[in-house]
Amino acid sequence: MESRLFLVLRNNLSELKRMSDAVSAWCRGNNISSAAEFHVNLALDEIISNVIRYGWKDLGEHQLNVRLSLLNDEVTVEVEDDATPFNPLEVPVPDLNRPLEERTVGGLGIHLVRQVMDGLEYQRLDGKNLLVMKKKISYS
Amino acid sequence: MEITAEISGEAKKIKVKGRLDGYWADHLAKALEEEIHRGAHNLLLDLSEVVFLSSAGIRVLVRYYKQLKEINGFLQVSEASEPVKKVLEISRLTGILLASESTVAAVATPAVPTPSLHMEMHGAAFDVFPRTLGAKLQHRLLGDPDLLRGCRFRQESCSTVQFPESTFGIGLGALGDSFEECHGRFGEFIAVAGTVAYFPTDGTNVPDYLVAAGASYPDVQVCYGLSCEGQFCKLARFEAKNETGTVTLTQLVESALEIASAEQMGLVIVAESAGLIGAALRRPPTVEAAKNAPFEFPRIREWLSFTTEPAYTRSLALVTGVASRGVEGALAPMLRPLTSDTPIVGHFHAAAFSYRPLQKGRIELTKTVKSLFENQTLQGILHLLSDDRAFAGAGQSQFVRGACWLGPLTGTVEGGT
Repeated sequence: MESRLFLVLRNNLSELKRMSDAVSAWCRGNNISSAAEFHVNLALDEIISNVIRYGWKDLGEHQLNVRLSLLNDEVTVEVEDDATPFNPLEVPVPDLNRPLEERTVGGLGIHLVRQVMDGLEYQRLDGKNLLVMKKKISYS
Repeated sequence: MEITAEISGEAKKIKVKGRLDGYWADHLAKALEEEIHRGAHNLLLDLSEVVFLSSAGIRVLVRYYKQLKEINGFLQVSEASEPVKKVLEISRLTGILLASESTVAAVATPAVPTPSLHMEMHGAAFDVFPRTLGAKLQHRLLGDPDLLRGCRFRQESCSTVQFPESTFGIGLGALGDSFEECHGRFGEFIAVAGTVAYFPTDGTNVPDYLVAAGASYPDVQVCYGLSCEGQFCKLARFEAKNETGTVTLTQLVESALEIASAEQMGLVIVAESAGLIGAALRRPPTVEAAKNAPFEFPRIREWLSFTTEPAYTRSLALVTGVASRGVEGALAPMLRPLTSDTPIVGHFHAAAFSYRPLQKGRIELTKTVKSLFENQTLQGILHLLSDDRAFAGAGQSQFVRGACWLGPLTGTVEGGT
């Protein structure tokens, strides 16, 4: 059986809380473990806040589409936006073995996403960014 | 999100409840900034009720971890929820940010204070550290302050002066090799611990400065001013202790004179400012424009810019100068009343830098001053004044807390101009 969640977000950081509440409710409704729920929420927070902060040059209102689906013990998370073309998978990996003083600040967000998700794929399609993230799950 | 703070031994314990995500991280940043500005340099964060942490929250933790480490303070996470532990771990920050139990226990018990003399007077609390027993300061007047009236400074009345690390000085001057090169940009200068900063009057409106490299000190072309040399006898750390939360320049100077047990003294202050009041020349004082320039009314505003309200209200100020309990002796030509209601006179210049908290306890003058020039932005230079006109007056310069190096002035430098 396939279960889906579809969210339309405005480009305002205050939407993060609403998104997280909806994602958590959906995960619990599908008996997804709390660890997997946290990982999905973390990946979404990183990706969405980055798009909201840096994606659009103008100050106007924009939309992001977030789709979650659960099929065969795997959650697929899709983020779609019409922001400036940006492939988060090209962000260089930060060197976390260096002392803190020498670490660069950038790249930590996408590092976290890579650590908690099992598959990442980016496409630029019809003038839109589409990021597809996969997470293998266990049930609570 | 909910943020609460309580004092725990040597540290301030801050409990955060809720989400540290891309939205709420900025709120935590503001709260930490405020605690640090109020003087808390040791922070323990209880994140046991933080249900979510993302890289935005991590960035805030790391930013203040680094800032506090630079000033000998610390930021550590004392308790962490499972999600917080997980994110710290995959960010490889567990060993850096998560406090061990022994760290938490160590800071929860007050440390033995460094020996110092604690005193409270004139609206502030002071911790006085002896520096050099019997240390003395001597001064040397440079040029003739009277030539300012009418803007009559010329090559023959000016001199080339260097300010080595053991000296400090104030006056009108400019950085440069010769009078010809500098005559169109002379302005207020301040020299402390081998650094010199001045405000050029050539219309650039940006303060200029040089930090001595090794033992090579920059040449300053000086119209008139004052150079002091020797050693400070004491370092006094101060913090305002009254209902306004600030202490005025006069209160500070009055206390410093008592601490130094002196009638005349030299001092260097590095302090968190709550507003500076002063003036700076807008045009070079060498053009002989008018008989009474730059003080002639109403054109005085073309010549001098005044702060009509407190400027640099949240900055780190470097202030230096001399003070005296009366207009007597060789210093007299440099001395002006600090306010109309005190017999204390003095002459002070200030350089305002972008804000950052100042390390607590016993700090070193040269290192502190050089790090201001190296790490902060120099915003402006002022000759400090008090504006005590009834109703419209902007008052005088105010400080929250800081460090004051002071010493009695015991005479003039031999052989000097």
